[in-house]
Amino acid sequence: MKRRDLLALAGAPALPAGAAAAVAGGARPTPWRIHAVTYRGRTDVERGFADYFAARGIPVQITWRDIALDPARLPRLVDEIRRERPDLVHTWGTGVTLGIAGRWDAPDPARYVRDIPVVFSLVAAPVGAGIVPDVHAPGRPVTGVSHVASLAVQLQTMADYRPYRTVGMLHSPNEPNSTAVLNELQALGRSRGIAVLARPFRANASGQPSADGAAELVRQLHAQGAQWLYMPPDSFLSTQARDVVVPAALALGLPAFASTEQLMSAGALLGLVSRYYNVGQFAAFKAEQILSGKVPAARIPVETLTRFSLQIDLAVARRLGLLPPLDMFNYAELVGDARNGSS
Amino acid sequence: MSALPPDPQRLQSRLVATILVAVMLGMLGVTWATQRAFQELLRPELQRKAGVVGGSVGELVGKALDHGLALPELAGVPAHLDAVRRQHRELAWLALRDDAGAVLFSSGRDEGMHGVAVPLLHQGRQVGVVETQVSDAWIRHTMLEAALDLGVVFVVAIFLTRELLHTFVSVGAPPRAGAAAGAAAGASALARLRLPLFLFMLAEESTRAFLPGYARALAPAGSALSPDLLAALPIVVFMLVVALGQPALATWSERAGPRRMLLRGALLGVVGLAGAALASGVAAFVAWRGLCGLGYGMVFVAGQGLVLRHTTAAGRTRGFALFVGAIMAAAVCGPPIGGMLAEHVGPRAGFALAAVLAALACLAARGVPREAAGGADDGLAAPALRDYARVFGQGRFLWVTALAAVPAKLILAGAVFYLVPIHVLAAGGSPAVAGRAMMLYAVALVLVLPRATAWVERGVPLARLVGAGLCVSTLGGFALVLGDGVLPVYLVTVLLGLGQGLSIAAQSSLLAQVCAAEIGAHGSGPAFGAYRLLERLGNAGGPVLAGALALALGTASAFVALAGLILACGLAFALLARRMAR
Repeated sequence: MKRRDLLALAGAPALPAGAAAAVAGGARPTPWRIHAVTYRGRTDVERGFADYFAARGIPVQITWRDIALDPARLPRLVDEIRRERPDLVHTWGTGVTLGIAGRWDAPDPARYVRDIPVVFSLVAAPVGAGIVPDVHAPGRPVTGVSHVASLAVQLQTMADYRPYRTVGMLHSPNEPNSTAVLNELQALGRSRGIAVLARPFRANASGQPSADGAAELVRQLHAQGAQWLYMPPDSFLSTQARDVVVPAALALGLPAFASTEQLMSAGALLGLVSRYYNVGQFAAFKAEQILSGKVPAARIPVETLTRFSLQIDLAVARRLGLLPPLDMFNYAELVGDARNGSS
Repeated sequence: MSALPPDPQRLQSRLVATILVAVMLGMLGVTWATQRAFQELLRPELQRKAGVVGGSVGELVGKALDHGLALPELAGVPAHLDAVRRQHRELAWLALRDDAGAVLFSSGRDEGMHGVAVPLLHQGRQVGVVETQVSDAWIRHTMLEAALDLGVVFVVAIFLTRELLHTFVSVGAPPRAGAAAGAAAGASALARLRLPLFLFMLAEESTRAFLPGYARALAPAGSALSPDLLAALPIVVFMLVVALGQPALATWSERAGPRRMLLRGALLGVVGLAGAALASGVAAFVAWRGLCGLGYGMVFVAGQGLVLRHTTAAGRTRGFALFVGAIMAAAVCGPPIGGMLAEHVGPRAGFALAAVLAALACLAARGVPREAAGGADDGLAAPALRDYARVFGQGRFLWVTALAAVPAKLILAGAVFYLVPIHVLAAGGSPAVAGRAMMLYAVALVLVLPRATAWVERGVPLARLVGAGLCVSTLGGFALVLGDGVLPVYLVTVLLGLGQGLSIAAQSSLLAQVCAAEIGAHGSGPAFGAYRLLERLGNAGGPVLAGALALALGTASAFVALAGLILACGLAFALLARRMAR
């Protein structure tokens, strides 16, 4: 006890003024400057992120930037960040994070932010996508929060609800996270004797994935015997799930499984998800460690929330005639009756 | 008519017998009352528990109903009921009935008995019931288990009481004057030896039921040796130390004096058992067991030496009977006590208790009187190498040892000390069950041994007793063909006890008979030294053989294979008997 007190005293003068004030609970005269880059406007992640600082009285000034689903806007934002030199950058999703920070193994300082700490949210496969070499030791000032449960657990959850031999999946070939998940899914499928049917979204003239024919792809998966539609953490899929993909599956009586909260709210039957709000709060906690705690971002591990919500949409279950097994009433969060019609 | 003063020795025996009978009657009464009380309390208690389980199922169903589901459309109900029944093995039947009484979902078998019905309420209205029935078979099984436990406690209590009475009565006997004084002093010294010997053997025996399972659990994941073989290793090392240490220890005992050796051996036992209780890995555990083996060997040799020093040639048989009696009593009491303790408190606590018992043995050993300097010639001196060479060259010696004595030890150590605890564990039984089975072995042995000794004295052909005993001891192993459960294991140990009891007494006499020429020329030392050494190596080899068989065939088939192997030896022994007798 005594020794620790001494250390604290000895360390105090060495802390920067801002941190000392934050530790003492007082207001920091100049707020931390944070650039937050989103993919399709602010979500619960950003709300959780901002609320975390507000609740702790940590003054931050957040500059919101959105690319409106268009990765072509990212280079301009990189220029802006390098010019304005904020204290930290927060990024939403794999595509945005890669556009801002680049791959860890292909450094091109001219094109990416290299010397300002980046904290990401909602990157499903940070190692598979090449953002960090190792989740335990990022090795560069990029860290953040993953939001997806282990794929093995997701597959088991589907089987617990409704046993299956064949699973279908739609994915965007230009999204590294989606490709990483597909590879893992195929490997797991081989070891467990589950057939995996995968269909990429079609590309438009500029090579970007397109919603055209997405409903037809779902029909093909169903015709080939898919018993579940697995919806991976795919940014483009997230934008098409509610209006195109899930309705197509529902019409065929094909249950859809959601790997993210956003996909769940698009009308999936079942999901094992992290709450976006909590993901944002966890990301803010990591940002606080970097800003006030002076821990180098390179030494902060990438983590997943330890708890996931098993969500079941009871209205969808009724429509599909696939009511949840009795066991799941013990631990599932039933979202159907609460959200009836509102989706 | 003037009555002769009663012989104090006979008076003592009568006193012991009377107290034993009183204790037995008391125990019987307690056993009966406990069993009855248990019977009366068990069913209501299980019914109450069934009601609680039914209530929790009802609560979950209620949640589903609150979300707008109707009772008949619930999904995954039988799977849930099955899972609940797996958790609560006492339930024979679990069902959901609608408000008209029709069964909608169920798990298990409707035994048609009066079950416990918990109403299912939804929005204040009863929409059905959850019905549970307690399994009669389960109750019978539980009652049987309880009766067996009580039976074990009964037997153990009798043996313990007998042992303590022997100690108190003999040690407390008044010294007699005159010519008998020397013999009386010897008898008193032997009586004082009995308690430390019993306590020390009890310490070792109490670890038998859980030792292999404990070693198995200590095995690291992904080790090169299979867990089955690792479980055999501590027994093998222990037995090897005992076997190979014996000759050197015998010499040492002569030089240092058996009393001192007894104390040091017991102390080593305390250290070894305490170390085993704290061992963090298999290697450390095996090392501690090796130390225990050294302690055991020292106590054993010292015990023999003390018997020899405190008896004359005439009283020697009685002296050794006392020695064997203490070991047998420990073999009856140790495994079930240790097994029960390991089941309820864990094997580490079991080893801790064993260490405490060994420490008590240490204290008790201080009461053994110092012996006069210089020892009696006990014939235990280690044979020289050329003695071994000569003895091993004799066909009849090999006939008795290789085909009877060694196989008997192989099956004893392989089946009782190794396979029984491992198999019981694999079959879902507890160390207490293994301890019980081991106790049956010892009890059967204790019951048969005096009778077989009488047969030997009456002149029943020795080879016939040895051969028959060995064959009988294997029969239980074949019972494993009948089923994988725990009951055949009891058959294994009982028949092993019977068989070994039949052959043990005859075996050494037979050896003396067939090696008469050798003994006439060189004394009994070389022949019996070599015979004991081979026997003890058989003890060490048993778990290795059984472990290898278990690894290749599984524990149940290993019993059968081991039994087949030893039966073949027994039959070969019997077939050769006529030729050897010539």
